[in-house]
Amino acid sequence: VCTSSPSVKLARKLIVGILLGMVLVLSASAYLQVRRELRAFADDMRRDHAVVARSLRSAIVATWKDARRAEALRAVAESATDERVKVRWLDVQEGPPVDDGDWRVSRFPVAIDGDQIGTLEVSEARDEERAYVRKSLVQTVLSTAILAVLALAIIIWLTLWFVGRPIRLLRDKMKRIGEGDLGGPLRLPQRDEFGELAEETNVMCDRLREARRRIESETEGRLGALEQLRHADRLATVGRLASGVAHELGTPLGVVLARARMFQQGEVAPGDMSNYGRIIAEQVERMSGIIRQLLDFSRRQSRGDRQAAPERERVNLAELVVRTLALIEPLAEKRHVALTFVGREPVEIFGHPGQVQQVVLNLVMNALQAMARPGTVQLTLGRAQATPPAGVEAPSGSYARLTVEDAGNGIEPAILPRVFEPFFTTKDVGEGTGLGLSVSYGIIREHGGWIEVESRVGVGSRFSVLLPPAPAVTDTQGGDHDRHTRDHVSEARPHLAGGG
Amino acid sequence: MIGTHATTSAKPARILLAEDDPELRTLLAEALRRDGHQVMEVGNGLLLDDVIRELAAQGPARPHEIVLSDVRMPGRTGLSVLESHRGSPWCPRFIFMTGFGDEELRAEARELGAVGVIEKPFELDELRGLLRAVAGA
Repeated sequence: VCTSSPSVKLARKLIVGILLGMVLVLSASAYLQVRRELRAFADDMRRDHAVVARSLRSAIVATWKDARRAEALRAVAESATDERVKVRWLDVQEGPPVDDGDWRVSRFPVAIDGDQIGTLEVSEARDEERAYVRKSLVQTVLSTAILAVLALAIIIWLTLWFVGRPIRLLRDKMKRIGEGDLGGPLRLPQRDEFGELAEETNVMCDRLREARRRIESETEGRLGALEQLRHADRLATVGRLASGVAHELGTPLGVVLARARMFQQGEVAPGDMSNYGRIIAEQVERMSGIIRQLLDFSRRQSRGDRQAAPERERVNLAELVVRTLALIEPLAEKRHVALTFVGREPVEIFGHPGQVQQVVLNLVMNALQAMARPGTVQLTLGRAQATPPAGVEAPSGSYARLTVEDAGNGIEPAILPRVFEPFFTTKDVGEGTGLGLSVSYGIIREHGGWIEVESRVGVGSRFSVLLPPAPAVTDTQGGDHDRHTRDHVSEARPHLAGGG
Repeated sequence: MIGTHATTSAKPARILLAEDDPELRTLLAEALRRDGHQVMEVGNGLLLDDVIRELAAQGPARPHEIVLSDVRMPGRTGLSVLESHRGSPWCPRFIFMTGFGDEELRAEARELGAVGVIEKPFELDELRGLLRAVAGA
């Protein structure tokens, strides 16, 4: 029925325990039985002795009264006809009989008119008794052994079937649950505690499966919400950029319109035609470029939305910053703020260009909005040795660092720790969504980095984005890349784990 | 405005044209000169400010002296130049060219005392009409 697997250890223990107890009980019972039989046998012997003594005593007393003592005693001696039974006359009044090794002895007092005249002693050889004892012992031991073996077989079968098997099945089931397999309900036919346990286990598995499904859908929902939040922030940014972009389009549109009218009204001299055509084409290209930049920014994210996992790629941060600044330049000009960018060395990271651009855009917009008066927003890109702050799980080492420094009003120390909270904003209604910094922080954390902020009231704020540098490129990549990144291989490696 | 073709151009004016985009500046300067105006071109806000100072040294501004300026220019914006000269008798009248979709900026320009705001892109005839209205006032 059962294989002797480790799962029947419990069954084995049960069997051994029951067996020991059974042997103990059976032995005690056998011992008591043998002792009882021996006592009964001894009682029988004594009863026989008493019968012998009684028949002799009346004869002795009668002869004794006739003063024929010697004759009486002879009769006693003659009565011992059997080898195995001896009768003896004792004149003195002796104590209780003592069984010696080979004989069982009984003593009976003989009295005439109340005066004891002597004692009649009956002795019987014990060989018969011994044989009986041996036989009785052998029988008892044999029957006990047979009983034990039969009981053992029944117990083993019952234990393995009702304990060992369900336990093994339960253990296998638990192991499967532990490995995350919640399917395949456990079917135990028995209607006992094990059956109930199996039923409860199945119910538990169903609940776990339900919980797992709920968690999965919740996680999915949360990720979806996060993505929507980012998209909302992006759209808000696009909206704010759009007016600047529209403004930018005014000039080239004006040129194209005026030139076109000249053609229309026949004011163009034949010699000027090709020149005017070139000017119109250039202006249109310029407009296309402006619009493409804006679309590029708004589209990247939408593309990411549709994909389960937007792909990461090597991103040249300096190029990305330059591209982003071009996009935001109109807004900066409107606020009379100059944007300067210092990128001392080419820095590459591994990530989503659209998301990282969103972060840069958010930080620069934030800086612009912090500046109430004309001034400069300074962007600096480089590499830095950095140690992550508490709560950020990332290794210490070399990071790509982009700082965005404004000369704005600064942030009060009391609210500085809250600036990355969602919907936390000090801006007027309509100016910001309060999402930018929180979304930015989330994006950078997903890239294995973090954002630091320093601020002095009345002086300005500095946001630093730290990102793990991209791993070394393989030989198939450009030589320039190779030369640059090789210097950083030893530093870059540890970030792979943290950066994901 | 498209209908009113400017065969009868406005009284000749002295126009100080400030626009950082060379294409548009050249185009406007050409057109305005063809209409008989006297045009001075500057490419940024700082130069605009300098030229206005020089003109002011020659005496108070006259009605036919008009500044036609872009709002956003390197150095200084047209609005900030107007702001620093407004109220003074030597301050010429300003017409601003703004990008479209920026109501805020137009309101600000009018508040500073600009005599006209024209939204890019605009028809040349539209500008001519505006100039006529301003110079004729």
